[in-house]
Amino acid sequence: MLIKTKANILSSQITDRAVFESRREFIKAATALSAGLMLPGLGQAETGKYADVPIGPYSAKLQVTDREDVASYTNYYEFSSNKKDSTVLARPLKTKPWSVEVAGEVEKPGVYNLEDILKDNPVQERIYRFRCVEAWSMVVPWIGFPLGDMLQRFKPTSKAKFVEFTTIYNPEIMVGQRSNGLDWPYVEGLRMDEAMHPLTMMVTGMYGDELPNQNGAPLRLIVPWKYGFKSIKAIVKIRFTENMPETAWHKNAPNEFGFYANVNPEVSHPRWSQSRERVLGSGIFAPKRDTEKFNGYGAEVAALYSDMDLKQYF
Amino acid sequence: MLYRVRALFARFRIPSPAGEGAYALKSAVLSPQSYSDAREGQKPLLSLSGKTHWAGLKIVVFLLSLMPFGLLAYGAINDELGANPIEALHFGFGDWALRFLCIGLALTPIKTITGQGWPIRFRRMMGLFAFFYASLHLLVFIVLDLSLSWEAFKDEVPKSPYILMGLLTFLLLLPMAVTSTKKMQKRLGRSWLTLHRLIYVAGLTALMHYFWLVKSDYTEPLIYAAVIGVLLAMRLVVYCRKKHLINNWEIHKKTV
Repeated sequence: MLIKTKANILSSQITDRAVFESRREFIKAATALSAGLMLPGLGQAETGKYADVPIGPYSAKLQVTDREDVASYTNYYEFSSNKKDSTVLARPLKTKPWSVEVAGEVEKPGVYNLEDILKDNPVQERIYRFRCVEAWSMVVPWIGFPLGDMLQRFKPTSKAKFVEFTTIYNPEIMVGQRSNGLDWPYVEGLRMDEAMHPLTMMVTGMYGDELPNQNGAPLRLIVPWKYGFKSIKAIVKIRFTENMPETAWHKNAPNEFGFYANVNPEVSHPRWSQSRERVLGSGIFAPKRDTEKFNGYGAEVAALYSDMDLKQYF
Repeated sequence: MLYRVRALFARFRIPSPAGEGAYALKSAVLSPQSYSDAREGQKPLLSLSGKTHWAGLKIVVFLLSLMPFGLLAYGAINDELGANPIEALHFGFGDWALRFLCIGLALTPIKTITGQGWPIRFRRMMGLFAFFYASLHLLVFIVLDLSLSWEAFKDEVPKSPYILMGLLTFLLLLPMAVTSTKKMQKRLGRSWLTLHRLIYVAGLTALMHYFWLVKSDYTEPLIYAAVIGVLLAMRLVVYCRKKHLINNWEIHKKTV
């Protein structure tokens, strides 16, 4: 498959080829160094488990955000509404062993071991843009595999129109689940064609290594053309449904968070504009970047919504 | 223990309505600078002799109040504010504006409860620090977040109720900061007090600004709401007692 290039990438955003290619070496060295120093906030993943995975299709040649920034700035309300606190609070979560329950409109339901899932689905690296509904963004080299490949193996029935994902519920460790705010556990969902789209990823790692707990270890979703809250973390259940699933943020504030949540500068959130985004790591005096429709993935996904009014189905 | 509590509440009571008590109270309310460091016959908790000592203490409080600014500025210069330094500055200054507003609002109730007049000496400074941090909060928004772009301002501000509420709060603080000098206090006389009651409104609009910004975890704005709620409620108690007293006084006058 061709590596597609994005239309409006500023030359300043394109990483120099030599730098790009030496990135892995640098990350390896940096992770080894930081692991040696036991720096806080870097997660507890093994050093460079995915250091040599192939680069997959759709990977954009963009300047990636510093790993430290990605690992210390997360919206993980199961632990805290403070983006920095979840870095520490998420540490006690046990991610091994891990299994995923598959249920609903599917021929092969059951409980699947994550290790077995990974045996069937070889991982690859893809550099994607990530855009939060709070109008900040980053560029992350995710490690994972296409969600569609995995879902096909479970053989969804013809009744399966949507896929619903559920995060682990464990208020003893996930201290944020003890208080109200959201109706726990966190639930997200995709329409079947969105789930099967080759851009949609199941992610187990980033920056050549396993996912740190605060970034959604051991298994999370990444849907690069949707706002970050769609990309649910620490998934324990996948259910195929006939009807549109009720999702966590939509349930909390239906007028603010839609089911589709496609990145769209033309449709404002009731509380803030979506036309611009703060690029993490761009410096204190850098202006915000203009947000692209579908987060710059319009060529790939716009057709999915050709017959829909995106103002109504936000 | 019970006695202590009762004694504490007794302080809320206004001095005897008979004779000059009521007048003395009224004049004390009307001229906020004419305080003594303790009520008559009461030993001040904080007793400093001479102007220089008070000036020294004020300098210490002033420098302490500047510390949050110093730490955030240091963090910004040395790139130690995390993944989103603009947000860290923006929220940091906003938090401190609200904290100084709370401290400023707490001084009069502390005076009422303890009978000590010295907290009022710091009221102007705390109020001005609330304004200082609110200005920095707004400055970071306009200069760093919006990059001084009028286009961005037009696009982002009218759409956001919480930003509009923040701007309103700033506009409420502004006339108080401008009229904070002793000269202005004298010139405005009675209306100075009325004008500076805007701080109660500013406290409430600042809270709304915070509540509307939050997505789902209301813990922090609820803490501020509780603090500001208690501080405003205490004023209401004093006000009601005063009203009651005035009514009694009217009746008393008629019967005489």
